[in-house]
Formats: sequence, C-alpha cells, structure tokens
Amino acid sequence: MSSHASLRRPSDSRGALRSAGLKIVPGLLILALWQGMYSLNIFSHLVLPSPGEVGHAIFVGLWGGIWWRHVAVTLEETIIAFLLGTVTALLIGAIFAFFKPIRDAFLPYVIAIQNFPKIAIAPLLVTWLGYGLAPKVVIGALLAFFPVLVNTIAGLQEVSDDEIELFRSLRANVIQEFLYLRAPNALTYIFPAFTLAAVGSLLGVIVGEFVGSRAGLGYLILQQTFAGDIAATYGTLFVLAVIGVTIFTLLSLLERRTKFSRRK
Amino acid sequence: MDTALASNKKAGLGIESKSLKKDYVGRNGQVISAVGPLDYAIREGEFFSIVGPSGCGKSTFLRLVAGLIRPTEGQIFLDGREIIEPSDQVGIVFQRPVLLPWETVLNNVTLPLRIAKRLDAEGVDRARSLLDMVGLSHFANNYPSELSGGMQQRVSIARALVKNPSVVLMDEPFGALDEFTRESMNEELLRIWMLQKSTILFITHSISEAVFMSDRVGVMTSGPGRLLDIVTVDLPRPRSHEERTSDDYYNYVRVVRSVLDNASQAGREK
Repeated sequence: MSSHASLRRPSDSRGALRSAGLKIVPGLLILALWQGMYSLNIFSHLVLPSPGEVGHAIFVGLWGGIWWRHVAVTLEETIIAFLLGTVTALLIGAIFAFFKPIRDAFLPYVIAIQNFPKIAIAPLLVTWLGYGLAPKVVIGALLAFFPVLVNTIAGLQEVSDDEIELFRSLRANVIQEFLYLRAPNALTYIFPAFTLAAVGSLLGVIVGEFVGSRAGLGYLILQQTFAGDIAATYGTLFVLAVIGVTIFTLLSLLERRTKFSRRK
Repeated sequence: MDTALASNKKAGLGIESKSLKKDYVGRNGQVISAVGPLDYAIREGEFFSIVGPSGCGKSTFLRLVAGLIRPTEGQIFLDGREIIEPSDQVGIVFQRPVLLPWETVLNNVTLPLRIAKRLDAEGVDRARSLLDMVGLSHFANNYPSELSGGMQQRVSIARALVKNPSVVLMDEPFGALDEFTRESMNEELLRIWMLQKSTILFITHSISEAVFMSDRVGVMTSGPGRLLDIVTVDLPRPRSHEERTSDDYYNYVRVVRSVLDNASQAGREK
C-alpha cells in the first residue's frame, strides 16, 4: 500500500520529473526502433508505415472529422454495454448470494458460459439482431457481465465469521448487516471488476463491429484494411488504445475517490 | 425488590454462572463436552482473567457471557439478570481488531452507536475522547490499513467502550502482538480500566499477562474445559512496568503455573 503510494506520489518534484522521464524512455525507444525498421526497409512499407505517416493519418482522421462519428458510435455502444452488463451482474449476483437454492441450480451453467469464448457467438447475434447497435451491446454486456457477477457473489458472501460475530454482538439486524457490512464489503470487490468489465465491453463492441456493422471504430478498421490504408489502421488502433486507457483511468480515479478501495 | 437489587450491588454481583455447561454435537453425532460445569462469580468492577491452554473452553465461556451462544445446561447472569442474547451492557474486544477497512477510525469507533440508532453529537464526542484515551486522537480520520496491529487493537478497545458498557469482554486481544507491544498495551489497558471502572473479563493464554493485569485469575484446563482454581493476585495498584520484575509478581506467576502443571501431570497419570 505505502510503496504504491510512494510510486504514485514521489516525495519531491525532482523525483516526479525523474519518474515521468523514466516512463517516456520506453515509448521513445519503441518509436526509434519503429522508425529504424522503416528506414532500413526490414518490412514492406505496405505493412509497416512510418510513425510520421501514422501521425499524419491520425491528424487527418480527427482534424478532418471523419473518425469522430465512429468514435461516438463505439463509445455509445461500449457505455450501454457496460451499464447493461454490470447492472445485470449486480442484480443476479445479489440474488445468487442470498438465495442458495437458486445459486446451486444456476451456478454450474454460469460457470460453463463464463469459460465459453463468448465472442464466438458474435456472428449468430448479428444474424439475430441485425447490423445495428443491439448485437454489439449484447456481446459487450456479456463480456462485462462475468467479472462483475463473480466479484459480486464473492464480495457479498466473503464476510468473515469475526465480522458476523461483531455485528451479532452489536445486535445488528439483517438490514444493518447488509448496509454496514455486506454491501460495502462487496463494493471493495466490485470496483476492481468494473475496470475489467469496461475493457471487456469495449472488446465485445469492437468484435461485434467486425462481424457486421455500418459504423464504429471496428467498422472503420476493417474499411481501412480493405482499402490498404495501413497508416490509418494504425492510427485508429492508437485512438482505440487512448479510449481504453482513458476508461481505465477514469474508473480507477472513481475507485480511489470512494472509500471502497480499502480492503483488508 | 429494590432492597434485593441494592444488596446485589453491595455484594458486587457482576457475572455469575451456575452449573454452566456447553456441549457440541460432533460429526458422527456424538456429544462433545466443550466446557463445564462452570460456577463463576466475577465481581462488579473486577479485572478477572481466565488463563488456560487451547481447548480449555475459555473462549466458549466468553461467548456464553457475550450472549453469542446459549448454554446446553445451567444459567449465566449479568447483574442478576439472565443472559439470553447480546447486551448493550457488554462490550467485546476480539482476538483480531475486526475493523471495517472502508470506514475511518472514528467511524469504526462509532459503529456500535450507529447500529443502536443513537449516534448523536454527544456520541461522536465520546468516541473522540475514547480515541484520545487510547492515544489515537490524531488518527481519527485515518483508515485502519494505515495503522499498525497494536493501534488497530486500540481502536477496537475504544469501539468496545463507546456504549459505556458495565462489562468488557476481551478474547486474547493482544495475542497477535509481539511481546514488547503486548506489554505496553497491557499497561495502557490497565490505565484505561482505572479510568473506566468497568468489569473486565480477560481471556489469555499468557500466565504473566494474566497475573500482571488481574485482581483474580481463573485457571482452566481442557478435556473437558473446567475451572481448576482461582488465584487472587494481591499486588498494589496502579501497577507499573517495574512491577513486572518484582518478587511478589513472580510468586503469583509461579502459583498459577503450578496449578496448571499439577493438572497436566494428573492428566498424564490418568
């Protein structure tokens, strides 16, 4: 805990500068290596464009405004998928945690589906639901669902005997035990799952767009690859990476803003 | 009625058990006697320790007093009233601090008041002064994970005292601490007890800890758990760190040890 804190918050500004500098070094190395490989013609320029070409493609795509529509579509699908998947997982997780017969009956199926490569059903979903938003949201929600479900069940159940005994000795009723113990305990498990769920929903949405769509970053990547515009493909992938990191950072910040990042 | 209560008070009636027995049903359906019959009479305001090896039923006795479990036979009384469920009059300090990691130190201390639905400004003041008493007033807004094990246990002591209980039950509260921390916690607890004047039932497996802290030491043995003897520790109070090296103190340690050794020798001969 304390070592993490000191990594994030170096004690003096010189230390902060140094650690920021250290983080830039690998990025610069990769760029240099990339440029070197390009200049030495190690790979065909059709497969590996130069960093400058990719930068130019990003500039054109974003400045020209063509990409924004696709960014908006993918973001919309991802956010809906994330909300749908996590809310469903929270509800079903709570039901599983509190009703043992239901858990015993359904959990084997849930585990079976969890271990199934869910993106494999994407073509089927597109056949069912068409080329619009629905199939992407469903795949994204499926990928968001499982990490949150598993952690909700664990968080609601994994309360120690000591804690139960403390609450009994304080004569807490069932509702108080839920409000003061089980729910907050579950949140300490659920928050880390939210970041996994967000990454999962973005992944599911992109796969859904690959399989069949008329818009979105997955669609854009396919179009660019078919057209042989590899620099633009790299650029779009970079935009996707930025989106992924942004979502992750926002959720981590949210977790740290709440008190539920503090586990035993 | 009034006179009966008054005479009870005078007699210093704190915790009393009569032919108290607790059995467990084992895996194969056989009845295992965990403890008893126990006849304890712990006086009001007394610092009473129970010392004994693992499995002697000392923790079972504490949980019976806490009202967390019900006896198989016999009865147990607190201030003359039978204990049938956990009471507001009893505060408990467990082996582990059992703090809620997502709540601040202050909110952990006020938790019993929140659950009892009587948290007010006065309660917060009381929690703050208890934190002050255990030397943690500067940590009120910290989280438990930022505190050492000894500090966490002091928070749990403050929590046990926040409802102003007449009895505090302590189940090997310093067992997980290193010897030096444990000794300073012992001295601190005695200081707090002198201020609070509540009855303390203190469970430990350390003979020296039991002797240093207590007015009387109940010595228990296992198989089945039973009370061997009660040793009255007639050392002056307040007891300071220097007392730990006094001859009188060592004599009491020897007495308690000989009670335990005689029992285990008798057990072997049987």
